[in-house]
Amino acid sequence: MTAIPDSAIDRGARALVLPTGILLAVLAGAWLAAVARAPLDSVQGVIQKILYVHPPLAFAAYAGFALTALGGAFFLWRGDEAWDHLARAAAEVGVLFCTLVVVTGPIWAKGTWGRWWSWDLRLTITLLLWFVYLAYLLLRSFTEGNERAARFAAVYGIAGLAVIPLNYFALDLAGGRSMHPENLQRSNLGAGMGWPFALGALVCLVAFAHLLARRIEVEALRSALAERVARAPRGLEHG
Amino acid sequence: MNTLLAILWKDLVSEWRSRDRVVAMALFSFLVVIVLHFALPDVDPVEVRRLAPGLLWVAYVFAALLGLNRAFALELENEALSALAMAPADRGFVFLGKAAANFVLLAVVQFATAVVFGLAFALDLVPVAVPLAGVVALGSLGICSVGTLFSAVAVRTRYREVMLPLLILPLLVPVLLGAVSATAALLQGESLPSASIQLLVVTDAVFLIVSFLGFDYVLDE
Amino acid sequence: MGYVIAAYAIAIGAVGLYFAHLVRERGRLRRDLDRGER
Repeated sequence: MTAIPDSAIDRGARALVLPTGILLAVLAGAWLAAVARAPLDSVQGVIQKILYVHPPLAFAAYAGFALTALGGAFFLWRGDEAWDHLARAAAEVGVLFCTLVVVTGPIWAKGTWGRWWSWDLRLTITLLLWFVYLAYLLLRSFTEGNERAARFAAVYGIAGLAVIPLNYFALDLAGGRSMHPENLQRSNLGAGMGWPFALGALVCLVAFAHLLARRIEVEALRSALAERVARAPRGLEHG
Repeated sequence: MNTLLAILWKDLVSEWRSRDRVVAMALFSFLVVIVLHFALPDVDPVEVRRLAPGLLWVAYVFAALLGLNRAFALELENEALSALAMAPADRGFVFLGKAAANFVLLAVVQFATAVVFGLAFALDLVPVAVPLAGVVALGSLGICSVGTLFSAVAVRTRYREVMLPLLILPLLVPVLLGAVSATAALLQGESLPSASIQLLVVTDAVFLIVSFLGFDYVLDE
Repeated sequence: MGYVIAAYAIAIGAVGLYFAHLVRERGRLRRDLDRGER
């Protein structure tokens, strides 16, 4: 194996790839079996089973953004590039999960209420988070200079995280006065629904961890390659 | 503290000399108001009173974005961004000075826009002028704090005019929701809802702290 | 029922696609790094 400039985060990520992968495979199987076997909801019918994937995806999306902000904060504090790898990786994986939340939500809404969109509090907050994620990634793309991009993104990540609880209260306020009388009711989990939901949450978090580990690994490799190219007298020849 | 006042004074004086930013913001804001007026079909006064708060803040946000986009333009053109970074005092005060200047300019434009808005939509804003000014000030505080911070960021990106709204609009949702709901209450003749004011105050505090601390990392040249 | 299948398929499919992308990317970068060693 080639020598790669290493840090604890990069090494930790590489070490986690295999165990999370195996755990994911096992859990995913158990989860899908549990979902298939779960009893039908008396009110919503089979459509309710989306509940075992949609909120779990949201857990991962929010965990992702928390990590993005945390990674950015540590990067600003410590200056270690590895923290920025974490932040950037968490943002990319997180935006994937966030997109899936925003996609599966309307699928559930359409199946339950016959409408694709509703300004439901949680769905709206996730939509706003999605925009923040996207702005974060665009900011990174459009800033010239790696170090500056990392710094800018770190500040934005922290601001974006701070706004999530603010949005929660803000939308709660708006919901109270809004003209929209319908509110998607969170169906209470009845008997036999605990396991598929808990497994769903675990699967999504482990999937997030696995993808995050792989993404950090890729970032470390990219960084090593860029360093090699910068130090070489001539550029590398790519096949 | 002196840095704050120095930067504030410098920005306001340079704006007073050319007045281009304020005039542009004001004209744009008036145009938005007029367009919004035409965008609404003939609605009865009760409907208008319901929709007005949101529309007013749409105009305010547009004006703010225009002004904030230009906040660091002068420094960028004259390669003075690094000079800001080298200021011996805490860079946080540079931020406060810049944000204060933006706030003052925005306030001037907001006042003029309110007058035009009242005329365009046949609303008498005079009875609620003082509490309205307070609500608008709280809203502008939130807008100008993160707006100034990320204006310094956006000015160093490609597509900078697009980058700023993209960055701050999701962040401004709590400010706008609080401001609009408070404005709505005022226009309906009710008293200010405490929940809205609390939201605005908390959001402003959070944004000010984050922007004050974050500006340090954004100016490093 | 179709909605349920669609939701799960999209979620699992998207995660799978991203996974495949990361695996490919890692392979490419490792090859490039190894090539540079010589």
